[in-house]
Amino acid sequence: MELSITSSFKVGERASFVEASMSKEGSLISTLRALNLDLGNLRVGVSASTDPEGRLRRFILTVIQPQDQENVVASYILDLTSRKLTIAEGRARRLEVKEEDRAKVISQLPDLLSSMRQGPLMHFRSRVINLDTGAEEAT
Amino acid sequence: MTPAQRRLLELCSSPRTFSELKRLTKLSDSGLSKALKEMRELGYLQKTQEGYLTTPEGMEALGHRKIRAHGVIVVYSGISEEQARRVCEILRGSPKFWLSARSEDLGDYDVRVGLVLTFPELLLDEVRGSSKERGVE
Repeated sequence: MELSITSSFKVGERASFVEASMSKEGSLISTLRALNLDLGNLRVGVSASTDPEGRLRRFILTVIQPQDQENVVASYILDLTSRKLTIAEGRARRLEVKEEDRAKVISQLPDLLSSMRQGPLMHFRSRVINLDTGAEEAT
Repeated sequence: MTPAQRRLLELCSSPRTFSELKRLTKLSDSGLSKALKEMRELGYLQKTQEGYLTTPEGMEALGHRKIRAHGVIVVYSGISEEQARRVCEILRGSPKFWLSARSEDLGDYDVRVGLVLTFPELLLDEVRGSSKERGVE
């Protein structure tokens, strides 16, 4: 799997946009677009991935609220392929994210992709809801 | 259905041998035998030459959809009923068979990358660590 950042820029003072494409053996698999908003006491990130035909596959809404020394994080992952909604909630060590840090993460993301096999939210409490039945699934 | 039974059925969505299941579930021989027997009695598991396999009834019990058409049973999720019906149409008249198919799990990367793009702290330690290793600050 190859990941390349195709676009990354700031949208005003408090928002940034990133576009990345993922391909395998030279064929485009999906395109990801993410918009991050810094609302002062709250950060909100939305990310959408689309297949090569432009159909929405997954949508992620992440809300981050700094609290004392920690960040309270909630991610809502809407997966239209497996028709599931994953809600992951947890606390993470609060790290100061400077603009250059964000740029570093984005620029090194292609190399770090393979080290992300464990899943970045693995320590968070998560619930999976079947979109068709509304039932919570065992995780 | 207990979480352990559900896990067993999910693992057997493709054929699994007893030793594979033992390794994956970490159950004892007797515990696994008992669980397999219960699932077989409920009609949720069958024993095939390749190993234990979840039956269409078992897949249905897991919450997947099922259709019967042209003498073919298809249990599915993530595709439309029309697509499932087309599969039935293609396989009509085939001699006794079973088929297990799924999409290649590429989407997980979408989620991981999407999360990092919206929450870069997830990889910040690694990025800072790798910068230090290279003497970059």
